[in-house]
Amino acid sequence: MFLNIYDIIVVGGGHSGMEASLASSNMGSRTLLITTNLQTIGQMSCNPAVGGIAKGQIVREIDALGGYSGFVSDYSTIQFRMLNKSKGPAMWSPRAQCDRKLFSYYWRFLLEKNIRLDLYQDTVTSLIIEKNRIKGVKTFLGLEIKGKSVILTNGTFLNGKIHIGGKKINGGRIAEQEVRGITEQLTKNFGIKSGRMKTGTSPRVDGRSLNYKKMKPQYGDEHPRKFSFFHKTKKLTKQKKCYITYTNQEVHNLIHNNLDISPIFSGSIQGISPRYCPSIEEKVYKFPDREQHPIFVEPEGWNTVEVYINGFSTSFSEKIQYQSLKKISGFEKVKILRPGYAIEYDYFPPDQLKPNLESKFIENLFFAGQINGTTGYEEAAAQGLLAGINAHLKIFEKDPFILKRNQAYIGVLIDDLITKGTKEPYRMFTSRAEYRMLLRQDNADIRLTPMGYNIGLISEENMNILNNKKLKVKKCISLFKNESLKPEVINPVLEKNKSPIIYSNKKIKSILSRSEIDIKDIISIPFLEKEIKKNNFNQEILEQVSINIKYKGYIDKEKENAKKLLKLENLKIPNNFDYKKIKSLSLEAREKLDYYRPISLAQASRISGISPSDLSIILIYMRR
Amino acid sequence: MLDLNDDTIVALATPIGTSAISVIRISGKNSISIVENIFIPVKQGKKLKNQSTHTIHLGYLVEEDKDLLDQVLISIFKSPFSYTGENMIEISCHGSYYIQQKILQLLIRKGTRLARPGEFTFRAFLNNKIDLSQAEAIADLILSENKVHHGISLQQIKGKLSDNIKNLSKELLNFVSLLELELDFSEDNLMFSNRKELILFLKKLGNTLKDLIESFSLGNAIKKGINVVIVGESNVGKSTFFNQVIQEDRSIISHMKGTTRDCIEGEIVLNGILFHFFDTAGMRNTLNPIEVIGIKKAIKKMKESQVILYIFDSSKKKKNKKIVNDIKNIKKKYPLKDLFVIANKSDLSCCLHNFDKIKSKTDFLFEISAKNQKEVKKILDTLSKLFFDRLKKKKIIITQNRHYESLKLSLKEVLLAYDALKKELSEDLVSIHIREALRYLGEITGEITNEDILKNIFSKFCIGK
Repeated sequence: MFLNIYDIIVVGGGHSGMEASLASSNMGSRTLLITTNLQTIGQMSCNPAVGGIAKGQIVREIDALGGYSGFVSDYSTIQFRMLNKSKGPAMWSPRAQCDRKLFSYYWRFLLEKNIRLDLYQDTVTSLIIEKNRIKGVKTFLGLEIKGKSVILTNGTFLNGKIHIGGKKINGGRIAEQEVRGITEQLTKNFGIKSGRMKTGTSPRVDGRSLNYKKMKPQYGDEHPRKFSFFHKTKKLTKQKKCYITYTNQEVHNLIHNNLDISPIFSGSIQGISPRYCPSIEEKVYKFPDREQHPIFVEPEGWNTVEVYINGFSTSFSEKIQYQSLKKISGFEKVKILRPGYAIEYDYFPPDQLKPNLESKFIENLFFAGQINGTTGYEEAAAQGLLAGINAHLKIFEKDPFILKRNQAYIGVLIDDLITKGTKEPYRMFTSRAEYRMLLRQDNADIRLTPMGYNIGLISEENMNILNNKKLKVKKCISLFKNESLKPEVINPVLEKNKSPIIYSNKKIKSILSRSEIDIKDIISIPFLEKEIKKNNFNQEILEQVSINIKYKGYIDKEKENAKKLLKLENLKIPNNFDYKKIKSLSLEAREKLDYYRPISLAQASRISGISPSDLSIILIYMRR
Repeated sequence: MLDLNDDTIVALATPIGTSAISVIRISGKNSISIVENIFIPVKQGKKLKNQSTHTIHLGYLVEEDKDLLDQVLISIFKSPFSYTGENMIEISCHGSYYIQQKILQLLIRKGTRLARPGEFTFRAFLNNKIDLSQAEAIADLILSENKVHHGISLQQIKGKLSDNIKNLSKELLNFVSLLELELDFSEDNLMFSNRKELILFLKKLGNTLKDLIESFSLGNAIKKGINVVIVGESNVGKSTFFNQVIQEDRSIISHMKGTTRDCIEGEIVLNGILFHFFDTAGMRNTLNPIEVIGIKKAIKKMKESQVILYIFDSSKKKKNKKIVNDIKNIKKKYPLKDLFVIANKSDLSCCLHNFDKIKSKTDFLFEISAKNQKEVKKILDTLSKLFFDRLKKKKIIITQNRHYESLKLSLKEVLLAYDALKKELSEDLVSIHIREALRYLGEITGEITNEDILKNIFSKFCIGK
């Protein structure tokens, strides 16, 4: 039934495992995806939404590289919003509420369509490792399956323990069994460090029991967009509403009085939880001055009454969850469908990985997703994609595929993980990126699609689409640079927007670079309208041109800064570099460098405790 | 940060201080064009860029206002035939501290940057100009130079400067955290900051930075000395006074008007503070071209000094009106400089001068005979006490050129952020400037990372769904 030997075995069928499987099989590896329950493939364990600030950018990057998270989200979107539209373009972040069922349905469909990919339902309980090299996996049913490379994407399943009030349930997700054996084998036999993390999820309730009149509706965008650059899906003509309401002092009092029996405060949860996604009890405890906290009611799909109560993640008993929810405005008659819960799980500190997400200790064993201490579907999917690509490249003896910090949020993500590790669940923020202005959602294709093409994940056809877009953008920019506007034509527009009028002809570019002038204000000028029509400059092109002109100063500044870093980035340190021999390095630097084994001077510079003089010294020895 | 930039660096290659000549070294792609810009060759029409490597050229360095700075020899070393392997220029100039600093500052204004410890050697290494066997020695050199450097900065870290800058950084960090919070968590529809408050905050911060930057000149004073220029009409006893101060006969003293045609420099240390005294040509109408040059120099020196000593002859009663006028003019032209007025030749005077009128114009009026050592000393004591007290009073003084540069760059970014906020640009754009400002401050106190910003956010605000 199984191949004699697989190129790649992916353990786990979540966001990470699915992207990994499709990437490696699309690149030509014979791949097996093995998961405990084929029914729950592509499950959204937490809230039914994809994207958001910094995360939306990641989804666009995945799409630009040839991954599928954006496509599947587009297919299952029930509401789309471009967040932060009032801010600079670096902040524009796509976010979609999704139909939970459609989301997993379509993922499964895509996996099944792939002829080089086998699916199998069983639980991997240990790894076959010979001479610190992965050889395959052993399963709960007693099978031994051989593989040249294994990607672990176990999510929250390794020794997962669920807390609901005083109840402790072993499990990787509610009503699903946890996985034992892998952590024990890796830590005991191979000295790989592991840690415990905690995350939580909110109760889901019956939407019919809520009084929406007491809440503020939140609508989707008037002109909803899509995540995917290349995969076309149906236009979203109708959208579901979300609602916002708030907790109040009464809710807080009730929570406060019961803090001592919350597993988080009673001491029964040891794992480290994320600071930016606190449970409601942590919010009440840490910020006693806040009179209210926002609660977001998110529909779970087109055809279900179930809604997700975002902002109310909790580990309280179902009784206290019910009592406190009832006190929220609009929730007076609430009926809970599924209580929220907290979950503790094993993770492996990611500073034990190489930049290609391969273990430093076991060859051809890759780690991706929540097992690396991250949180979020998007972060997991991104790692899965990169692990899939790199596992394939490794067994075919090609150079690893590593994204730099100035190239992609995915680059920032993986670089942060491997050089700094993480002590709490790691989530992406735009503030983690040094070159936010370069890493925009609108240019993810320009940044990454050529790379996706080079590794074989982007088709010739899609590459042509990109080249065509680039050509048009260039053409349009040169039009704006060379053509002038007469005062009598543009002054009415300027006056309308309270912009100083002009007295002689001015180039279009200089008018557009004024912060108070939007491209929409000028494209209706007859002569421009004609040019735009003639050249078929669509909205995507015009937006690209507008960003490039309006924010040129900032973009250039970041490009300049990135260029400086690039020089360090290009100075590769040989893998067998012997730091211990260099007496001029401080002892701390010697030990850290020996442990992290940075691939470049730039990466070395980001390790805490490495000084500029250390870098100079390494450089000198590198030249030897 | 380790620099692999192709920018142009400059440093003094000979020890700081007075010597016969000193050498200033410049390395980098633009070395030749930068120097070309400020160099007037003796041979008209000569272009440095057209000269071959390893050649020497005589000429003058000029400042932006076309003032001649010094007569110099320029040695050209073209890439790759130089010590660093890059285009290099060596300027041999006259060895006064003043000239050295003037030339360095001019070069920095023209686009060079002060080299870091060991940077010339480091560049030489990068360009394979140094034998491999020397590698280890250089590594140790960098290490030791950094240690020295580190030692210096440790001193500063213990001091108030670093505390102050750390406070500034902290305030900026709070500021940028607020911005980032709104950006990264705007999904939660939260508004934290009030733009008006942010604008006010940036204004205040800009002023603090300005203060620090201005303290550099006072800081420089401690390190490099305070310039004191002696001015006055011809033959009022400026040179006598000068010679009493430095106690050696350097100025030619005679009773002929206009004997001191050039500026003469002397240094003394009072109360631990270094003072440079400049004796200048007497201010009088003259047609003698050499004297005209001398008077011009005197005016220039006045501009560059912190203290002006105005001397007049109290035995000459007729001049009263002119003296009051002179003092008025100096006060008006240099309101921020300290003015000492000295009524000389008290031994000859008939005390008929209207000192009240003069007194009302200045805080410091002395009646002395410049021949009397004791009376001169009284003036010096007042002078040194003035600066000593001032130093004690000033909380923070910037003394390092490196700090000065970082603060200036930081201020520039703060002002840009201020503009951006005023123009109602988005927070992410404002944030770019604040982060740059933080980065420059970080060059003084240690880097602030993105992680620090996030930590700060999480410790202060309740966020996340």
